[in-house]
Amino acid sequence: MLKLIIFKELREIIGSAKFVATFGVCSILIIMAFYTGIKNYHTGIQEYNDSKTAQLQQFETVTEWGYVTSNKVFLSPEPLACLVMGVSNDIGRTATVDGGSLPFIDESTYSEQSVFAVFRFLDLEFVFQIIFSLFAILFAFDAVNGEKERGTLRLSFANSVPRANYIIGKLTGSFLALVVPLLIPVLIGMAMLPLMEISMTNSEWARLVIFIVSSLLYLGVFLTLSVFMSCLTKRSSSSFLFLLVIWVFSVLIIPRASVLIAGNSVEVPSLNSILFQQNQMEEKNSLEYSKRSNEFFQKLMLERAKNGNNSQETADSYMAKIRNFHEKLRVEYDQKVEAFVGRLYEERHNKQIAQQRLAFNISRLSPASLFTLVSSTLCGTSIDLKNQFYENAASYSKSLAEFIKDKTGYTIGTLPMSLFNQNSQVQKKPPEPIDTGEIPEFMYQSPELSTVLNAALPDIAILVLFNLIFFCCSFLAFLRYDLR
Amino acid sequence: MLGTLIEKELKSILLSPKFVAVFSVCSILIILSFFLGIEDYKAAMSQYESVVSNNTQQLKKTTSWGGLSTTVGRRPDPMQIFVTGITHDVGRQAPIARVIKLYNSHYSENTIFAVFRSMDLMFIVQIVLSLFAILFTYDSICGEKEAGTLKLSFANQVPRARYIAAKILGSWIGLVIPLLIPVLLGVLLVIIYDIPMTKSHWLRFSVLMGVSFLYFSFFLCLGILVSSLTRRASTSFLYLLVIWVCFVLIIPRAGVMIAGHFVKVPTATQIASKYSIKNRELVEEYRKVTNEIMDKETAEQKALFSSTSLSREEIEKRYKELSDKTLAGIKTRGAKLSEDRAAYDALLKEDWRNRKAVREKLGFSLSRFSPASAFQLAADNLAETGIDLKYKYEDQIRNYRDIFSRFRDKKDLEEKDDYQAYQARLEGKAKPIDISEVPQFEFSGSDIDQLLQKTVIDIGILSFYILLAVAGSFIAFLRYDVR
Repeated sequence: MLKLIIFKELREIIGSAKFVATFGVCSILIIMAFYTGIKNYHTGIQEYNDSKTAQLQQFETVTEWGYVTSNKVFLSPEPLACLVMGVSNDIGRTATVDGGSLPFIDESTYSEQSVFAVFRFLDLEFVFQIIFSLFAILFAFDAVNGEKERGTLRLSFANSVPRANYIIGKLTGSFLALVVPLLIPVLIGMAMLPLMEISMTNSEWARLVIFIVSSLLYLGVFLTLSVFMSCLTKRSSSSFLFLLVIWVFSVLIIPRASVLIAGNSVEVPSLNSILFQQNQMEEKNSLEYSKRSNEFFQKLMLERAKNGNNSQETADSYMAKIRNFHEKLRVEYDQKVEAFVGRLYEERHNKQIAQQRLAFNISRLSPASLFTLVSSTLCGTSIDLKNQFYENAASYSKSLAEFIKDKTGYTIGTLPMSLFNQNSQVQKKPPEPIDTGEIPEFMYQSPELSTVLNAALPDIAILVLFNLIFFCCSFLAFLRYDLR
Repeated sequence: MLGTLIEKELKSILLSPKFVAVFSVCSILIILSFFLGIEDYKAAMSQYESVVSNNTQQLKKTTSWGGLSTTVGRRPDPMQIFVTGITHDVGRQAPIARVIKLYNSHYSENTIFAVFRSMDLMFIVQIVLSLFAILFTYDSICGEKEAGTLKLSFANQVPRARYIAAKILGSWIGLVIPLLIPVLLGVLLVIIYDIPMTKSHWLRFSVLMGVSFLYFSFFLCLGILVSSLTRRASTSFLYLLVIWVCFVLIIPRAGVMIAGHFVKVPTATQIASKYSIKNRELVEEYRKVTNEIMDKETAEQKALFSSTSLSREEIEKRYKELSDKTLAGIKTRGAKLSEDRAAYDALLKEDWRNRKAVREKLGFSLSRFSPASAFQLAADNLAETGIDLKYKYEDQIRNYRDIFSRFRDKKDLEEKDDYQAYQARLEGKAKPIDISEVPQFEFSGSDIDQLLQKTVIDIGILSFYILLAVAGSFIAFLRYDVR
């Protein structure tokens, strides 16, 4: 019996003109999203290589390792990031590292190529999020009440059909009728990846497959929700209106509103305000520094006057004392500023995490946000990408500093000027340019599969939960549905 | 007759539960978008003020004109409350340096806001209102046919043209007029929150609302057109939804992406690399030529010093002439090197700008096939939050840099002549400079005439699409089988 109902549902959906139109649109969009993603990846790789070469070329004429202090490193494009872009175009993709201070990250795609920021890109996540959900509604909004309106529901139940079997058959049939055909363009798109020379690791394939499964779960949420609405209402036009309002809220409003609510609830200090406080602290310290060094100097002069010894040796020892005092004072104030600024940044970071947690928790009310969070986490383009790139750049900065120390014997920031002029002073033979191949290479380390899965699993579980809830609700609502 | 038909249409819209639901949702969203826009603007203002105070703090510390450096902040415009455009993607400050570049965009600093993007008035109109316009009109003709009321209406002596005109007018009045209420409430919020809107801002806002209603009208007319072309409401809605997806979500993105594939624009690093290679060539050539000059001088010197026929004074005189000639030669080559460098730099930048302009033109022209793009471009233009925002700012900051540098150099020269100040600085007792003299950066936006001129093309496109939809509806309905 169940099989029969499923087949009926399948035939009804697949044989309709509605299906031909939506399947055509979806297939074109999915294949187009894969194609443009692949093209973007190739362009990105070319630009990335050009940027790296350009960076090395700038050091080719350099004759001293001491000059290799300001290096630019680039965030390499990744195949999955081109399919699901997430925030990868909003964050800076270039980090300037100097082996000493914190990396400076800049040059986001949208700020450098603003033309793309006007309408944004068309990626797989966008297609799945908007189109899948809309088409799931379109196919299931009248699943039950539509049959009632047409009178076919009464006809079906003129036979001895258990209600439970009927609704399970409806849900399974609709799901299969939408999922199986949609998998065709998805598989074509996946096949395009190796055909268009995209090499992906096993981990990336696994992440892509989980992403596809999550998108089907997302489709399932809207499908079960639509069937549920269809069981709750008597007229298909009413269920459609409700569903469209829910869709607008879920896809367009809740995600945006959640971030805005979190933004208003948890205030994160801006980088400029931290800089302002740092400057104020430095100014205060500088005054204190002058005061204390003056006091020390006067105390020393007084002591010297009391001693009455004016020999060169005594003068040298006093000078050494002054130097030591200044050095100690400088270190003390530097540490003070560092601790203060560190605390400010930590505070900012903590507030950012709190804001992020609040925003994402509110947004999880919407299946569309859940899907965005899952897909961007799986494809490595979530909000964490910024921090990961920053941490990678910071660790590279340290290795660059060690490398320069090995080469010159000095720490960056304490390189003596004489080092830069050695060759010009010697003049015996023209200085040899440095071997740029020796400069340590920056490689962005994307998180491992287990880390990504751990981060994505809670959201995938909520998507499953949404499916289960709406499935049960549809089931219960239909058991009490007035078939007449 | 027309009045009765319009009244009937108005009644059927205003009294439907669909209207109550949709009107409430739209009203909440519109008012929310105003409120969030105001909050966003206030946050942007506070960020701008912190840039300014940081800069003032730094300036106050400066003790010599030669060491004067400044940073310019991008002041938020109240129009971003209604149309965010690319405001959050563009950097918010730029240090005055050789290369002017805005950095630290809102989305790069606060990436969380980039995850789901913003919800401004333009977004509500472009996505939500267009969808609801379809929702109200997809069954305006075929729905009546299905319900059997169309046959009933035409049992009386009703001219078809009048009937369809009443349908369009009735739907328009029934939907547009109520939407004015939340918009007016939003305006009230702007006034209550004391947002510094000038006359020009209000004028631009009014035109923006006009364009929004044009856009909304297009989707109303499109709904009636498709409804007049189909027999079943479900088919009509399916077609409309596909069209909506294509117009609002696909064509705008596809247009720009196609242009991106066809017209390649070099990145900043690629330009820097090209410049670096050319610079190396030029420096190599400079070295070669100067070496030749110096070798020639050495040879001539040798000949001069080995000459026995010349007196010491004559040798000294000729030696000086020779040195001067060599120095002048090197100087000329140096000047040529600088000129060649600057020319190549200008060439690269011009090429970059041209390519960028071609890509933008192609991208936007392709995307204008969709009324949603035309509307967005018009809104961005009116709010000055479109693609020009970055270029305009950077161009004006470049002009400011020249003024600032000239001022600083002039003051630096004056200061160098001031021996006492120079001595005080050497002793570390220099007083901070008087920063009130430093020229200030003021961004001047385009005036309303220029903005309107730029927007006319998109308003024209929208009007053309409306005209097509209205004409199509008339023709389709005149041939419609009302039975």
